[in-house]
Order: sequence, then C-alpha cells, then structure tokens
Amino acid sequence: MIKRWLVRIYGVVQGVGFRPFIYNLASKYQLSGLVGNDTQGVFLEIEGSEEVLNAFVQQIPIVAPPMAVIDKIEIINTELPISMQSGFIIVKSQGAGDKQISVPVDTALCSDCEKELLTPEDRRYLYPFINCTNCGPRYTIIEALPYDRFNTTMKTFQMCPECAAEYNDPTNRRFHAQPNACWHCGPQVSLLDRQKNIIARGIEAIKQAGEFLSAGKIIAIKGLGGFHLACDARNSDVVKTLRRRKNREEKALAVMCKDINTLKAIVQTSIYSEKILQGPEKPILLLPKKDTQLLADEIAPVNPNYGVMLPYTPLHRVLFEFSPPYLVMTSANKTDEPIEYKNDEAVSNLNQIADYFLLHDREIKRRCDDSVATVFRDKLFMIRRSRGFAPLAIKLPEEFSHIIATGAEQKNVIAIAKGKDIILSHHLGDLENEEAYRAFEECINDLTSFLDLKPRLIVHDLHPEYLATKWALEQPVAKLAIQHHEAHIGACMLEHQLAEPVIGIAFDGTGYGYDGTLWGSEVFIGDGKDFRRVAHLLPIPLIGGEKAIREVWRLGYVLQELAGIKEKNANFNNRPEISIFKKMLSNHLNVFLSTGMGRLFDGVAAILNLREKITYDGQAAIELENIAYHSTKSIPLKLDIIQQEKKWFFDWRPLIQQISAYLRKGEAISTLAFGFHLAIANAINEICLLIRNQYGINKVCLSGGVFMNQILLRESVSRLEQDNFEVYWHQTIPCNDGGIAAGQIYLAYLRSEK
Amino acid sequence: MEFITLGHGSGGKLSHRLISELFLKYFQNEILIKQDDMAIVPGSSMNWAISTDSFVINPIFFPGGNIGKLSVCGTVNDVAMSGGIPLYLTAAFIIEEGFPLAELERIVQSMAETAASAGVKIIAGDTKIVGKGQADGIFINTTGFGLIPEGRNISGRNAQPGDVIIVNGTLGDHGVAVMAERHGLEFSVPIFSDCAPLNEIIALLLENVPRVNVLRDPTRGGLATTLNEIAYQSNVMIELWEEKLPVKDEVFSACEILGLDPLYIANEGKFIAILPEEFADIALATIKNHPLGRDAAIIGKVVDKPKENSNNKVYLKTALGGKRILDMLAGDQLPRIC
Ligand SMILES: [Fe+3]
Ligand SMILES: [Mg+2]
Ligand SMILES: [Zn+2]
Ligand SMILES: [Zn+2]
Repeated sequence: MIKRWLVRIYGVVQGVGFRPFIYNLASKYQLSGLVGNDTQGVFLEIEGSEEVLNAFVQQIPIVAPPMAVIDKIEIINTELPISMQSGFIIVKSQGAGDKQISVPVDTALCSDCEKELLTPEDRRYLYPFINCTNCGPRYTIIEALPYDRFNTTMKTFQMCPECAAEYNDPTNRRFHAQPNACWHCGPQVSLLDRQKNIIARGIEAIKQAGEFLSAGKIIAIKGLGGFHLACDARNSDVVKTLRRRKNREEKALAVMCKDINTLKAIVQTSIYSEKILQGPEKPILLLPKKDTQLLADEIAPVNPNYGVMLPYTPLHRVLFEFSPPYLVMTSANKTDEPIEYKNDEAVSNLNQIADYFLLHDREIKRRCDDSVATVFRDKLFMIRRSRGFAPLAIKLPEEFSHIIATGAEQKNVIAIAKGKDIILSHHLGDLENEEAYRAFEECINDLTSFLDLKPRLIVHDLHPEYLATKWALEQPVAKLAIQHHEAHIGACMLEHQLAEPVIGIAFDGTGYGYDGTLWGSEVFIGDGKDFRRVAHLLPIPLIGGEKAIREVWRLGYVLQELAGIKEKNANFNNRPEISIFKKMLSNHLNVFLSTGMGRLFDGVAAILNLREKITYDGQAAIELENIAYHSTKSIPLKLDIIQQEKKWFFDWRPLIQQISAYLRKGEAISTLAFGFHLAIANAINEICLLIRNQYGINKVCLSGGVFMNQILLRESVSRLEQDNFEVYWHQTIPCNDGGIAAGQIYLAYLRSEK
Repeated sequence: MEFITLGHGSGGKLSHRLISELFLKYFQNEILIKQDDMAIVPGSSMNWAISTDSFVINPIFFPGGNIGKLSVCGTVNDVAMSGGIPLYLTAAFIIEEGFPLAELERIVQSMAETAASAGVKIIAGDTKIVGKGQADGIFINTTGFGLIPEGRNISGRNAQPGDVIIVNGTLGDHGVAVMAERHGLEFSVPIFSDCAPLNEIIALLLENVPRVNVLRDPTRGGLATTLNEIAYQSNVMIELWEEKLPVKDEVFSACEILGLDPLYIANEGKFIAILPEEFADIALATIKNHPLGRDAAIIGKVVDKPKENSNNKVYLKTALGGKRILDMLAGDQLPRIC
C-alpha cells in the first residue's frame, strides 16, 4: 500500500549535512518526496510502501551524520495525498514560525576532510580552511540564524564555480556546507612580523611559521575561536620566554600534538580518552604524564598531568606538516584578559609577546576558548565547557521556556531555557574584566535573538556584588535568586536528571549565603525545590576579604591562630601585618566569615609552606593536590564532625593542630598533603552516613569547584560506594562556577509552579 | 518588612535607591531632580548654590582634623563643586549629654578657623542637647550658600566623550586616617586626613580654564563611586589609568594590609575635574600651582557613550594592560572570588 507521510525531525539537524543525508538515504530506499529545513528543524514528505517507509524512518537515527543530534522523530501525518512524483528533492529553507532550532556548534576537522587536505592531487591540498557538512566553524562565525552563509562571517567570500557546484549538489558532502571554500575563493592566511609587515602568504606563510617555531620563536596563531600563542614545547628557553612575556609564571600550559601517536608518547591514554581526543569536539584533556624527557620541564612543573589536544582546525593540521610535533598552544591574551580574537587588536596587544603573527581573513564573530576536561572513571569530567560543546543543549524533562540564568562572577557561562532545552553559552570569563563583561552582555543578546527568546524570568546568584546579579536586577522582568551552592548541586542534579531527595555536598571556594556570610562547604539535604543546610565548616575569617583569598598565608595564619597554636608556621612570625590582623579580627574590620572548603585547602597549603600568595585561581589547592601525589605513606589525620542543635559542623581546629604537630616533627609535606585529602574524604563519608541514618537519603551529589581535585573526588566516591551510596558527580557540566548557570535554571525549573 | 540598614548610608547602591525611590518620590521638584551635590536656585542677578550635610563621625578627632573642620569643609566643597563661591554657612549641633565642653570648644574653634580660611561666614545656628545614649557624642549639620558667577554651567551631567579627568591629589587619605584612629591601627608611617576647603583652588581653576564640565568631590564611596555617579548622570563610559592614580605609599600599603581598595575610600580634600582635553595642560598646571594640588594628575578620560542597556560604565586600565570594571558597590568590599 503506497502512502505519503509527513515526518518532522527535531534537534541539531541543520548545518550538519542532514538534508543530503536524507536525500541519499531516500534514494537508497527508492522513496520519492522532499526534505526541507524550517525554523523547527527538518521536515520530510516521503512516499512509498508502508513497510519501506517504516524501515526508512527507523534507519534515520542509526545512520545519521556524526554532528547531528536527533531529539525526536515525529510522524505527523500518514495520509498525505499521494503525488506519484518521481525522485526526491531538497526544498528551500522556510523562515517564519516559532524558532525551535538549535545553534550549530563548531566541529573539528573530520577524517574525510583531513584525507583530502593531505592528498597532493586534491584541489584543496593543504588548504587551511577546508570543511564540509560534518566539520568546520559554526558558532564562532554565526551572526544570525537561520544558519546560512550570508548570516555568517563567510558572507564576504564569493564561492568559485567549483565550490558553488559542490554546495548545490545534494549528493556532495559539501551540499550546503555554509563555510565551503577553497584556495581560489576562500579565506587566506598571512604571516606578519611585529611591524605588521606581511612576510609571507598562503602555504608559504604556514611553512615559514612552522620554521620559525622550529627555530624557537613565539607565534600568535589565529585559530577557530581566538588566538593562541604557540611555541616549540620541547624547547625550554622559548617556553621560559613565553612565560615571562605573558606574565604567566606558574600555571600549566596546554600542548597540541601532531597526531595521536605523538600524543601517546607523552601521556597515558585509554581507549576512552583517545576517542574523546579524536572526537568532533577535540577538547584539551588533562592526562597523566608519561615518564619521558620529550617536553620542556617548564610546561607543567610539579603537575602530574599534561593538558593535551590534537589539531582541530585544518590550519593547525597543516602547520604540523612544517612545525615541531609538540606545540604549546596557550590562549593568547594579556594577563587576566579574555583571549584575543580580532586581527588588529591581537597584533597590537600581543606585540610584546609574539614574534610573528599567523593571521587569516575569516572574521571570528565571537571568541570561544578551548574546552578543558579530564577523564574520571571513563567519563568526561568537564573543567571548562566551551569550544565544540557550546552551545549544545542539555535536556529538561518538560518545557520550561524563556528563561535566562546569568551565572556566577568568575568563569562565567550564561544559560537560556527554551522549550525543553537548556542552552549553555561558551566560557565568557571573569566578569570584572571589561571585555568579558561586554562578551557577557553580547552573549545574552545573541542567544536571545538566535532563539527568539522573550525572557519572562531571569535567574541570578544571591551575591549582591556579582556583576551578573547586578545586570539581572536591572532587567524589567521577574527575577529569581538562587543561592550559589544550591546552584552547584542543581547542576549536578541536572546532569543526572535527579529530582528526588539527595545529599548535596557543595565543596567550593566562597559564595554568598542566605545569612550574608560567605558559604562554601555546604551539605544540603533536599530535592532541589528545597534544600536544608545540615552541615558546614566552622567559619574561617577572611582577614582583608578578597586579599585573604589571594594571599593564602593569611588563611594559614588565621587557622593556626584560631586553633590555638602557639608555635605557628615560621613564615607567619614577625610579620608587621600580624598586629593589625589581630585588631581587624577583634573589631571585625574588613573581615568576612567564610565556610568555604577551598579556603581550608588554601590555608593548609600555606601552613605546609607550599605557597604564600597565588598567581592564578585555585593555585594553592592545586599545588596541595599535586604534592599529595608524591606521598609514600598515609598518616591518620581527621576532620572532626560535631553536632549542635540538629546541625553538624566540620571542626577544623583539631585537624590544624594535628597537621601543625606533624609538621613540627618534620613529617614530609607530601604525606601531610595526602593525609589532609583523606581526612576530607573521610569526613564526607562520615557526614553522609550520619545523614542517611537520620533522614534515609541514599543519593549523594558531589559538586563545587573543590571537586576538580581528583584525589578528593576519587577517594570520596570510592568511600561512598563502599558504603553503598548512589554517588553522582559532574561529567559534561563543570563542577566549578562554569556550571552555576545550568544549576540556576534547573532549580528555577524545579521550583516553578507546574 | 524592610528596615534601614547601615548600607543605606554607605553612599553605594542602597543609598542611591533610598534617594531615588523614597526622597525623590516625595520631594520631587525641578531643582532637586538634578541630583547634584548642591541645589542651584535662581537669584535676581546670579544663581545661588545651596548644599546641606550632616556630619557623624567616629572618632570625633582624627589625625588631620575633627568633626568641626570636616563639617565646614564638606559643605564649602559641595557648594564650590557647582562653580559657586561659598559665602555663608549655617551650623546646627546635636550634642549628647555629658560631652566635654573643652572638646566642644576645640571643635567650634576649628570650625571658625576653617571658615575664615575658606572666606565664609557662619551666619545662623542651632543647638539641641539630647540625653545620654540618644546620640553618639556630637552630630553637626551645616548648610552652605554660594553665588554662581554668570555663565558657569558645571554639573555631573556634562561629561563629554574625549574629556580628561583630573584629580588634585592623593586618594584615600581621609578614610584610612579615620579608620586607623578608630581601630587603633598603628602603621609604620602615620596617615593624615586630607580634609581641606577647596573653594580657593576651584576658583583659580575656573579663572584660568575656559571650560570645566564637571566638578565633584569624591567623598563617601571614594573615587570609583563618584565616577560611577557621573558616568550614570552623563551617560558616558569612563576609563581610569591605574598607573596615573596618585596614592601615597603609606596609604597604599595600609590598604594592602587591610584588603581595601583606595578607589572606594573617602576623601575630604579632593576634587575631580572633567574638562575638554584641549584645556588639560593649563588646568593641570593651575591645580599643581596651588598647595592643595601638588600631587594632581590626569587620571583618565571619558571614552564613549555606553552600549544601550549596558550597566558597565567605569573601568580601570591596569598596569598590566587589563581592564577591570569599577562598579558602584551595593555595600562593603565583599569578596566575589569563588
Ligand atoms: Fe562556586
Ligand atoms: Mg552634601
Ligand atoms: Zn569535513
Ligand atoms: Zn572555491
């Protein structure tokens, strides 16, 4: 029986080669009909025998193009009038209607394109902007939706006849590949010196850049979402120079490796991590170093890991034909500034850092940093969710539309809810920075216009001084404040689609609490609609507010002072500040109370003489973790839990006394650092047992920036599992403040009237 | 139920909300609506500048001044910031029972000296004594009257893109001096309040410089708060240059220890002048020529109109080349770092 069906497909189905895919599949099944894009996704009319139609529809999700994400296939009508048309056609895009489409995401060079790229006979041989419907730039070049060439920064390039023919041929893998281009018609590269002289163009520019890199020069390279600073990762001198010029003395540098084998020579991989490294997103992965001398020591001193990635644009891939096999690829910026992404600004702002500039003339519409992740128990553990992942949607169980969440102050990411989608933006940075703040405002504008959002609710943090909060409060729509650490737990619950009572362990730096103090070691019980704070650290005074977070020796001092330790760490003695600190403490002069677990890590790092001041976020805690890997034995340290009026407190004073005593006895710092981690993991386990006994809750969510610490995560999860808890941790949403906006939206959803 | 908090008096966002949502709601008129630090009232030939302020300070005596000197300087300065020539002051005292007479005399004496040096007369007054515990020592209210020479148009609403921003000296001295005295903090180099009447130096500036768009004294909330007010009133963006900001070494290191940002700390003898770049040199030379302007500097510029709906108005170009937003604080300098 011949039928004609109307079928709709929802999800990420535009700009990913979906229509040619349908065209080819329909031809294979010898169906007639049509396929087209509209604002809701893809629609098709297919005509043939019912069995074949059924088989065809079932086949779609199985063989869909790699970049497509199918949310739903809906058979709208099975009784369309039969047309007896012959053949299958692709119809023009249709504009109007409620926008349900998603914003397409940037995708790394695919294997088909890579093969062409390296084939000398191919007309795109070594062309650094080769792409197809399965790969190439998307989010970073879009100016408006629908995703068509004239709505991208590719609009200034007129396709040559050969490219146009591919673009218009439904059987070609470049059919409607919007950034389609070649040597004749597409973007071009050039190499500039510091005086802005063009010293080479085209393949010559890349070749020269490669040679300069081999010769120990630093090159600013315009990539997909911004500029990198690149240099030979094997050359200590140039790495040192880069660190000095960039004012980045200590933080580890990411390394791009020529190919997977080159990469495997320096880090330990697994089948899973290799799959991620070579997947369409190609994030930076933090993986354990192998014992080799291949790279300069200055890449990641004291760190057990390297941050590694594979070339994700054809430009990077071509560069490796001429350059050293290991390149430092660190985001190109001045200290604390967002990554450079415009040619002119990059050339002037990086003038003192880079020796040469490898530029191209395809404009980047919005900057997008590399995503950074690690692997925990063969799952991705996201640290910075950006390029390749943003703005992919996370699903809600039900509709929750027209909401904006403005996120946190640092590592800001915003979120938007539309339909059943939560769209997380790219990494926007620390909002106190003027450029990052501007990107924040632009991103809200862009995503609201792309998704045709009419905001009816804005969700924000409770912190009155966050610029994201202040922005929210100025908007003329309803507002909802979500406490920072509740949002962290909300993000973890969203990740696992939980809406039942959980124990939420939010171990974090500092966030604003309901009582006006700074929280950050919160143990909640609740289902997200509601949370009860049942445990936290005894407060730690931050002497001088933010200064205490940067100068962690203040924390070390105050911990020892309040733990009643007479013989303090020698480095705290005889400092002129101490007498003033005492008055500040007794008069509450610019002293803020914090229950932040991150502050306990910072203070212990200072007591162990690891660090007095930090030069980047979380440095003291990171170094405490790194040194702990060198521990050769375990010693029993304990974080006490005391109960007062139905609430528990982590009393850190005995722990500080133990650590101070061991230190005086000359115990190894690595051993103390490791013992400290175990004490925290044990305390997590212990508090969960106490809570389960009293409240019967068995699910535990671990969130907050402190859980980026892999020792703590590993030890906590294994202890909890041994006691048969169901443990949830973060995967694709970061546990740090990059996940706050996601949690804000999810809790707003759980708390909304339904 | 909402209550008045100390934050409502901090000069930050809460104070502004209190003024715009309560006082202005009821006291609305064409003079008050301009929201400068003084009112400009039409007179027969010249306009009057009128300003009033209450002074509440702990401690009452501090290095470099006392509540009396402060009450004269504060109001004289507010009048001067309109381009007005301060002529008369009224003074009203609320004194707590038991307050030492000798201290009161010291206060009144220094009011008289300061008024004389500023060339203003104290022409009316009032005294109320309240029972013990009903006030904290002594509160003083002063109201100042000044005449504005014709043709002067100085207001927080006049900042123009391209204008330069000048400050007449170092930042944060007063706030840190008072804080050190109140809490008994001993810094290696003692810090003195900058409390001083600014009408003379302002008069010189206005004589020598053909056009001055904005004058403002960065008192409570400091330079950052004041510039935010101006940016908001003028609808412009302001860029400050960290390397040019004058801060005394001893104030800087005290702020380092205390964890405070001198840009948010009160001054009592400082003004900001915003004027066209073509007059920058003559203005700076004039200010530097006066004893109260020796450390004067051009500290930034008015850059642009902000993007529509953008909240960000004032930012600091740091020594390392970054741009840090200096927003108006809602309250204390509360840590934002997670
Ligand atoms: Fe956080
Ligand atoms: Mg006043
Ligand atoms: Zn491809
Ligand atoms: Zn072409």
